[in-house]
Amino acid sequence: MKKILLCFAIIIIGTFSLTSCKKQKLYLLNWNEYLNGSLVQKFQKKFNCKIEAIPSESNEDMYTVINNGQYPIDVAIPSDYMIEKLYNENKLNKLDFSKMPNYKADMFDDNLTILRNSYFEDNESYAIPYFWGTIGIMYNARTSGLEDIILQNGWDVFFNEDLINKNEVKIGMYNNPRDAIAVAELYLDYSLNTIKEDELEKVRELLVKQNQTFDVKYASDDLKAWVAQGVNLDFAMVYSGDFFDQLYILEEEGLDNYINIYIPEKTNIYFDGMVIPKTSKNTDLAYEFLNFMLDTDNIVENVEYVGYCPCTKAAIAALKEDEYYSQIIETYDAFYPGNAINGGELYHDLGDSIYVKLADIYRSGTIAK
Amino acid sequence: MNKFKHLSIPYLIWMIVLVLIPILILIVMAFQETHGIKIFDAKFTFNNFQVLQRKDILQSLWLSFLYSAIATFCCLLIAYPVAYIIARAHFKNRFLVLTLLILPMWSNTLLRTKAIASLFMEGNIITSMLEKIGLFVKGLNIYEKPVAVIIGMVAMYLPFMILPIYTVLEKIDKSLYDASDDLGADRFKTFWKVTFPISLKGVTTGIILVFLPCATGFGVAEGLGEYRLIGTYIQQQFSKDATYGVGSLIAIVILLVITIALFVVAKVDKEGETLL
Repeated sequence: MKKILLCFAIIIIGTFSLTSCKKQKLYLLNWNEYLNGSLVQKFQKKFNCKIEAIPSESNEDMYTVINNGQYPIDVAIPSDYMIEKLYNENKLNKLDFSKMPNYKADMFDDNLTILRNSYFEDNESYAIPYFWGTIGIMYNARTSGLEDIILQNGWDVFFNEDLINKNEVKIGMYNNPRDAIAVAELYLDYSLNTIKEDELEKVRELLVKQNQTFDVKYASDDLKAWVAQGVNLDFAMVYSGDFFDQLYILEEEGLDNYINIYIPEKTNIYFDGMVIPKTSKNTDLAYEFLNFMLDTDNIVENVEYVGYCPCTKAAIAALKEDEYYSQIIETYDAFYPGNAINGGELYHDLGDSIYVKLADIYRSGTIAK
Repeated sequence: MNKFKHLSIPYLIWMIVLVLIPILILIVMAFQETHGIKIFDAKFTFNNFQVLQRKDILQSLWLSFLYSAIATFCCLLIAYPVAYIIARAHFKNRFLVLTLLILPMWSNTLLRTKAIASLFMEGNIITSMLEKIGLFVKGLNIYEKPVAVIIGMVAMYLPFMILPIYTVLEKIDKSLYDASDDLGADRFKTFWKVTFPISLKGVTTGIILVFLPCATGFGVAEGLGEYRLIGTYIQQQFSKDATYGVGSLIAIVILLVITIALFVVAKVDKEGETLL
């Protein structure tokens, strides 16, 4: 009996001593694998705090977390259209740039600046770009003849029976309404922000027909691995960063030159931005985090883990100096999203009723067989 | 008995906070059209009910029940003999065998689903290993097919069928067998007239334990490429769409269907043999 009591006492004291250290907490709402762990350590040590990372799988999940107030989120990193939605609903704090010594208005890449200038008014005051990218067609070059067809036809390969042998080629689609629909819109030459009833119905028909005709797999993070493996998928729509993620994995194994990505001229270009939602309770620490993530060395360290293209001029210049990354930038146009600035379109916030509609269209596509 | 009444208070509080109140909230939400929870500008509406007329939703409901029924039946077919053999066997390490059966449950469900999904694809860990030694074999390629989903469900929930049946079988008084033997019944007759009727309560419990998660869950089916089940639809309403009202309504419909089914079981089974 005494032993049992002793065990209990140890467990209870242990848990209390763990929870009772009163470190400040920074609630960070972020994507999976989107921040280098070494930076987390560094930040925690420097500011004697703890980063409480809330992982998220989609922009919509992030919205739900912020909207429901499940956590007092201090910093979130949603994508462009979700930033716009949060801004429209007055859920973001206007940033106080005087609290971020590392921030300079002209520090961001010129093409990105053009993009942000075209976005909703004053977006610069509410979000600081974190990474940016495009969507493209990741393919396995070992499938014979596929590379030429993709390079010549772009988005058509997802839908056109005449180009692709429907019995042999397997296609990957992102399991997220907005991105899956974007592929159809790019093929049909519609705007990625269309809300026209007839156009959206065409999109629905197309996605249904696609799933009925071809062997289509809807997934998210698995897509890149399946394409690389080559048996389960031949090509898929992915975010440019996903491709580089997979490339680094293959390079570590010494097999790098059989996957590739093609960004057609018309594409979606996006940026993820750090915002401070109104749920934040530890706002000063949030500013410290934003400032920390604007430091060029830290950005480069983050790129080494995440694999996406950084947003600041200084960081891109630093990568161009680097032996390894200069080669990547030279070999793959997809690494630098600025290359797609002419045909790239940003997503906009379309309003709740359209999102319900998009989700419904997406569902029609996924359940058609 | 009254002496111990107050001991049930923690359970009562638990049930009120985590079951009763959430169900009430679900019912309220089913009559609202909001994105996320917006209690203060909520408006009463019947609009959500339109979803019940949609063909694809009805098909999803039907498919979910069909898949679950088949999976439950397969579970029963596999579990009964296993439970019977273990309960009647004379070996010492019965506990060890049972532990081995439950062992898969100790690992993460999502992980297991992913592993099964990968095995069902054309290219998987086994084919790539064979490739390394020069054998080019194609995998099963049943990912996304109904049979894959059924196998996944059975693999995931089989222990929930074995355990209750085993528990009942193990507790059967051995003298009943002797009595049956004395009265001239052969082994088959003994099983049919004695063992099976007594074990029915375990079977019913097992069926409920397997059928419910199969019919309402989404993880296993979605992990195996099946997006058509109703669990997926409900989950989408709560994460991607944030149309909580529609999601709540469907959840309540399923809740009702299952409650009615259980009610019927309880009525038919007047002796209270099942664990209801």
